[in-house]
Amino acid sequence: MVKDKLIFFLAFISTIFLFLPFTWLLSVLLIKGAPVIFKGGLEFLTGIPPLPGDGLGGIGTVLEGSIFMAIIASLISIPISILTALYIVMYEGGLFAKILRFLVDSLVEFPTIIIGISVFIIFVQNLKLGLNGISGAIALSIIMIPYTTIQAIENLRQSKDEYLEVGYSLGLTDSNVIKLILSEGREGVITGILIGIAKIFGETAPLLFTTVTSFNIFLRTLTSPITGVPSLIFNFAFSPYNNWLDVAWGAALILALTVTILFTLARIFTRRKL
Amino acid sequence: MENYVFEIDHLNVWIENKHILKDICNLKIPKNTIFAIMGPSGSGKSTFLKLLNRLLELKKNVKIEGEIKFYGQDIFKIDPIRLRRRVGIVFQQPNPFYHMSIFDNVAYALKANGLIKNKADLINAVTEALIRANLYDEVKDRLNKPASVLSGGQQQRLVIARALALKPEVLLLDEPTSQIDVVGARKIEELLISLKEQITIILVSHTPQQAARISDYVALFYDGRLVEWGQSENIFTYPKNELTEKYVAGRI
Ligand SMILES: Nc1ncnc2c1ncn2[C@@H]1O[C@H](COP(=O)(O)OP(=O)(O)O)[C@@H](O)[C@H]1O
Ligand SMILES: [Mg+2]
Repeated sequence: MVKDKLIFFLAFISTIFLFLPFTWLLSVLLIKGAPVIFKGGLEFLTGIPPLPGDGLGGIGTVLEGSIFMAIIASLISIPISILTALYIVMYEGGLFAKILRFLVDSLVEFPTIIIGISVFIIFVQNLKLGLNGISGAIALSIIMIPYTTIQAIENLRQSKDEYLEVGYSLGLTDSNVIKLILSEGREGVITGILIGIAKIFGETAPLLFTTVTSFNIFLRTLTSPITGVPSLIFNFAFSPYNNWLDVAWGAALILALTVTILFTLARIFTRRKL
Repeated sequence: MENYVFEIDHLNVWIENKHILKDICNLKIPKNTIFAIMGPSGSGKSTFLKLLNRLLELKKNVKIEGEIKFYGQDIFKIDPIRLRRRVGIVFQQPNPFYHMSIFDNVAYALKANGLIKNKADLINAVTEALIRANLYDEVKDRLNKPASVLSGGQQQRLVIARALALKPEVLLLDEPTSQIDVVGARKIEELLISLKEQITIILVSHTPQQAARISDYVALFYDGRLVEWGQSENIFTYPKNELTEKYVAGRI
């Protein structure tokens, strides 16, 4: 009994310690960011970041940059992640599947700044891809792939346990059995994609090495200078200009909301059958 | 020979070097009957069932020796995909495709296997399978609803309909009623009795009572061995083997 109470007490204390910084963070973001967004209205999402002292403007350019890179990164990551997860699940126990699984697990733990440097050396310098959204997206996709893959593995494994024998018992061919497993495990794949996008949406470090910062022009070509929301926050938050500080708070709240929504959607998808 | 669907002789199976089925000899499954297999858990019933449509071979490290004939033909010489379309299986846990509608659950294998391409034929085939599985009346107004709206017993009959859609000659069932309420289980038992006019049913049964109620033939497995088999009346009234007597009396 005494032990139970002690454990309960400790759990209670640690919950509070976890809860406090979280609510504090959220409150500050809301208090500082929400008025900015309300004041700016829709233009805050579509406008161009202001010059120092020149009103509020918007974060349209960097939001476009973030979305552009997220889309390209997803286009690269999604097929690779699905194929990797499928291979690991279907050949579980095999040597190559074990190696792949090890690589994926290691990649999750990898410092993102090192991924940025590696992409810089390989793609930007050696392959002469240049500093742009494509290089940025490649770095982001390397960050995204392990998250998406790991989540997909969990659900595809479950789907395989449930439907591999059923599929074969219905006289399906190998490729149709795989299609069936993918189809019945699809919310795991979607969850993985959402978690992956949420993960890369707030990344700054790898973009430092792969993109050229430009806050106030919209994209003209695929290789135009590009910046994401986090870089704008980083640059504006440390400026001495009040209007830039406001923009940074508003952008931070938008970023937090986007990531929270993506994670919430991901949670919903894991539970629900589509 | 024509009267037996399966003939099994000198059969041995090892999984991961463990001897699972031990010298099963002279076991014959007569056509158009309900053949029940009973035995304590771990005695190799599921392993045996999965041999018959070559699902067991999907596992790693499986070694099979001996003879299994399907209508006189060595099953290991039949293309497994073709064999599986002729020998369907239903598992213990109802496992419909939860992402698909009731209709699509039944239509799936026909479409994926390219057996039926025409929409009207597909509707006919699905309807027929649902009728044969005694489920049609309960679902005819909601064929487009997801399979998850059905009760456990209905899901199991949906799974049976899914297997019947391929018009198999044999249906294997592995403890199909053990996860289902009594009423649902009764419906499935009645369904199996009605099906045996057209197909042969091999049923792993989780209780000797069920085997006694509905089977024409019965076999007892114990520790990977076939203890005895024969017509159910004989086995249940005059068991030859002491193990059978004990099992039927519920003492093992
Ligand atoms: N993949 C496997 N690896 C090792 N042993 C297995 C495997 N599958 C089944 N077995 C063993 O085979 C024996 C028979 O199992 P099973 O056919 O499932 O019995 P039953 O259906 O009669 O309960 C059990 O002892 C089980 O532990
Ligand atoms: Mg079993």
